[in-house]
Amino acid sequence: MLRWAGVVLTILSSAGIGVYYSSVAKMRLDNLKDVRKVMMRLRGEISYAGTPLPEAIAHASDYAGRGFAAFYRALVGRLGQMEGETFPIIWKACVERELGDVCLTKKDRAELVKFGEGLGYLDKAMQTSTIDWYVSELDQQIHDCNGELGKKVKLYNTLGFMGGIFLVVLLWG
Amino acid sequence: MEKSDRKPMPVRDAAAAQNKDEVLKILSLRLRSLLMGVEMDYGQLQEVRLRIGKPLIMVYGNREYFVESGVGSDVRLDSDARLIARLTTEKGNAFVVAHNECKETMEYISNYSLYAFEDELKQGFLTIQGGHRVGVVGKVVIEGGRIKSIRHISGINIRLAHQIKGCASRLMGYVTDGEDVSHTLIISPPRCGKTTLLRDMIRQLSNGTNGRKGKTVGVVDERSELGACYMGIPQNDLGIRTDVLDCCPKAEGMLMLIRSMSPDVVAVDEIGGKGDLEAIEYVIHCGCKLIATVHGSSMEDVKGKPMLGELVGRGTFERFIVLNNEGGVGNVAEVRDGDGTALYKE
Repeated sequence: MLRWAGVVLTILSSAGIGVYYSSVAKMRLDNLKDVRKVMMRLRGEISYAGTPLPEAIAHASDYAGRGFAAFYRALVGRLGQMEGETFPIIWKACVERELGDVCLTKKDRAELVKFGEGLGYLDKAMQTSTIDWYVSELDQQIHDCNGELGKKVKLYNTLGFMGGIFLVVLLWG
Repeated sequence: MEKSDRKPMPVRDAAAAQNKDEVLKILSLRLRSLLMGVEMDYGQLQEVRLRIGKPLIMVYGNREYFVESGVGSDVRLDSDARLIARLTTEKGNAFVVAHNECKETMEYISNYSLYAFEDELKQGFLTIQGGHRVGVVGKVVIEGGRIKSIRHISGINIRLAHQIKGCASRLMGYVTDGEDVSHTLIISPPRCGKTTLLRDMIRQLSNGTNGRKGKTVGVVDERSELGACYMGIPQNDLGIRTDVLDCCPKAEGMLMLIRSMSPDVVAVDEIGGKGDLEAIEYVIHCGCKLIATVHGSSMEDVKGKPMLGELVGRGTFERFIVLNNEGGVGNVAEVRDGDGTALYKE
């Protein structure tokens, strides 16, 4: 009886790990879409209303998804403090510290940091082209992620389940 | 304010404390620490001038000072590791503004968003919270023969907004006759207080003082000096019945106000252009009263100006107030009526 319980638990845990990784892949897609939504809003705030960055970010962050609220809040807070750091430094620090709960990859985060380096600098045209460039990058990521998602979910789920069976065979076979 | 006459000058009132906060907030960290080490009354601070590679200059109590802290790049610190600095008239050990200081200060002034001030930069200045005026110089970018922006900013002049409530009180009797307001022209050379006087007149006319009813006042604030609007909201007190058109060309603004806000009094600063004078005639013929300022040293000087002189000669204005800075900024030299008869002479 105990042996069968062990078998079931091993398979369930392993399958759970697979499900977790597939949900991370799904979450990444949602997170990328969230970032895109905020960027589009930010673009509007800057190009049509000429709103300064802290205010524009605060407005745009109303559209931020779960996990991003703390990031935008911290960013606006630090911008308001004016403590001797440039915008790209503050942006980078917030990306590194405040995005612990989102499922963006290292590459996604690096792109986000790079995007911050071009913000707040020069004129409106420069801002909108920076945002447009980043949105096009996001679109590509979302497109790729969408294309791979089905395969990835299937792969992680199968690997998780099969890994569990493999472990059972290895341990009790 | 040499070593010998250096006296502690505590912050005297809330306005001075507010000035201090608003000015320090927009300066680079290094400048902030430097100025925090200087004992001064921010109520008397008029200008802070930053020029890359040149000494930091402060205009304080109508005098120009440098800021000294140690020798060269060495700075003096007190026991709590705070900078000790002082104002001095000697430039030998004056603090020199570095490129980064200017850049960082511009970041704070523009709230990390220089693009949001594109239109203001075209005019060479922007207005920050508190109504303080920040003038900038650098490389002017021209597109299609017109100024597009200013890049590589190399000099910043922060002019602190000063409103002196009550400074127009003793002149209100000349400008008003019962409930009636006279078309008034305030004449003075630059930096003699004409804008400050006009601002207080607007406030008093708008609120109503000494038993006079308040009047609806329309202000065309082309350079944001009267209302010192920040995001469209006047930072200076212009009274409860005042409508401000901020950053609007005077000629167009006066017509817009008359069409849209039906003011009893229209107030404009620094008239002079052909369009301004045509708009003034329109204002006067609409039954509105006009209060304006103009650069000049005397009534005769203004009469000699092309177009404006003609307007004055036709008796358009009913009162002329001439200011100078003899014995202090805002000194009233004379008040004359429309015929040129002196109603008051110093």
